[in-house]
Amino acid sequence: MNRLIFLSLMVLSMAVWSFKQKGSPTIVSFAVPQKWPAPKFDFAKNPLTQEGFELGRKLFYDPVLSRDSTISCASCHLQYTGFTHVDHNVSHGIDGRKGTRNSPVLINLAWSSSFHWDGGVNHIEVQGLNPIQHPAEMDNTMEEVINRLQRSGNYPALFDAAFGSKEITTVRIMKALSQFDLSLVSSNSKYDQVMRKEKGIAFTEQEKKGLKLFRKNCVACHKEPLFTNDFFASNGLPMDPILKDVGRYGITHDPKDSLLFKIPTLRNIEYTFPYMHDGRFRKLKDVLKFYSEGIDLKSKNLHPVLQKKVTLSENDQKDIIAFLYTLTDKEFLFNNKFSFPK
Amino acid sequence: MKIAVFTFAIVCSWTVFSQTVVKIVPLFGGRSIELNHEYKLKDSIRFKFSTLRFYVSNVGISSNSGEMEVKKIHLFDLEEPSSFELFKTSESVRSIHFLLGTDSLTNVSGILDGPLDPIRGMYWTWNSGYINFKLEGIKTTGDSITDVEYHLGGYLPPYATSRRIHLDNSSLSKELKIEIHLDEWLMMISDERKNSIMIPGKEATILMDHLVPNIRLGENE
Ligand code: HEC
Ligand code: HEC
Repeated sequence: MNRLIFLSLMVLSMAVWSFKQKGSPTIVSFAVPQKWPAPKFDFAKNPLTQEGFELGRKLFYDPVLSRDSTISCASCHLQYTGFTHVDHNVSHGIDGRKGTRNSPVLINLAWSSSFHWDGGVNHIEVQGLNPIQHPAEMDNTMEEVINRLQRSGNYPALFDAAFGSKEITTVRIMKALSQFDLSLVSSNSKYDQVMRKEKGIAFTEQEKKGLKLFRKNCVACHKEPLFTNDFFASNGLPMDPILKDVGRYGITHDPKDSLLFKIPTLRNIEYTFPYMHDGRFRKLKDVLKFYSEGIDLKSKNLHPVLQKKVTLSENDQKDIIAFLYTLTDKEFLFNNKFSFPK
Repeated sequence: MKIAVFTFAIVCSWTVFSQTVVKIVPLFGGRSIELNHEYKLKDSIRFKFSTLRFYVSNVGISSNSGEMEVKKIHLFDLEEPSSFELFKTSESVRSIHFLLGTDSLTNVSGILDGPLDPIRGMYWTWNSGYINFKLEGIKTTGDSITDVEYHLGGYLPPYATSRRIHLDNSSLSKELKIEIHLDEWLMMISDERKNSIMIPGKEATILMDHLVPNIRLGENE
């Protein structure tokens, strides 16, 4: 009898095993760092899989997505700068065409409820449609992308591995890209190690002072541990007279949203210059100077927290910058897992 | 055995014959619209349509056996005759109700397949959400020709654009037509409205409001 049970268990597990071999991708559980809030993305609806992530990564680094096969996602989102571009204020796409905004970092997106500086994109899975079709970015169509991927040597097999059949669809391309986006978690900076009370790691006196000043002046919007509260705000940045970007208002048409922008995370900020939605500041020094001297106090939707003038001495500004440097996570910036697949 | 097959065939053909087909029929001056055909709205205004596409969702009927949902999502496309039929039912239809457009949950659910695949050209990428109703064509007023582009969408209040439609039916006809009287709609909106609406907002909601009374149930005579 026991033998029978044993045998049938064997057969059953073989069946399960071969089923797994055949087409079901390997589920990867999304690790939420200690003491962090729950992610906003519902992983039950698009579970991360090893194969889905790898396909997403391949697509992310593949210029085949752009009309003339010159631009990949990574052209504007470079890993070692926190997945943003560094060489110009606003992004440059196909044929050298200029966009109107600075490419944001791609860090901890699983905790974001909306995307783009104006929050116009309401779900990470649909974000990838923008760059692929945008005339100043990749200037392509989904029909063409699907055609090319179908004709390519290895993509059909990769879609098979990730989704259980060779079929290539908009849905599958977007799900794979978003799996890669969502996997970009940065949680191992010096700040994190100090917060986790890791042995031998401590803030310097200057960093401590900086943290204190940061918690007094900045944390209302750049909330720990994500360094954004996932809302929109006006930080008093005067409108650029040429770009005339109205921010969130362009989406909601609500006058209260005029000049509000998505509050960006400050993780890896040391490397993600230039700063702000239009990349107007090249140095953190300029940003701190702006917060203490440049805020347009009469700007009509200025966030209440900033309506009382921020006073930061030159030393205070340096201390805050020293603290901000502790948000650099080299393990993230140089993690092979997120790099061009070899 | 033979008898069984025979009865089976009878039952089958009976259900086929007793089915009611419900179609969507856009009309101009009482006649089915064809693409790229010129229609006269008033003496001086003529229209040609190059695109007419819209979503119908959460389609339900009420019949002798109660309320039931018959279809979740449907994309009508004047270029695709296979999209003209909305559903078939063997129930006796007392009323039909649906949402003209997509519901708000659909608009926040990420990437979707089938009729909702963004490849169908009914999705805004920079301002996530579906275009619920799309009409494109040219309008000739006297000697001047203008493009008409109505991309009506948006799911966020106060500018939500999908509209509940309820149509009562008393006819016994086996072919019911959900008629969209585009000429009457264009008559209501042609003078005072813009020729191009491509973003969510008040304009789009007004155009959708005017569409509602111009959707009526007709039957095959
Ligand atoms: C030509 C430069 C360029 C290319 C190529 C590009 N992006 Fe972007 N990306 C941007 C810009 C600029 C924004 C901000 C857009 C806005 O706010 O309007 C952005 C925003 C994003 C965001 C939202 C981040 C956030 O926090 O709001 C994600 C995710 C993203 N891109 C992923 C991708 C993926 C995936 C690809 C490839 C399919 C890609 N990008 C290709 C420039 C680019
Ligand atoms: C009222 C909310 C608010 C407060 C308080 C605030 N910020 Fe910001 N911060 C923002 C917003 C919104 C942006 C993006 C603005 C834009 O691009 O137009 C931003 C952008 C930044 C950027 C650029 C990030 C990037 O990726 O481009 C840095 C750096 C920054 N803030 C640092 C600080 C520091 C340091 C403080 C405290 C002295 C502070 N912020 C206080 C809302 C705030």
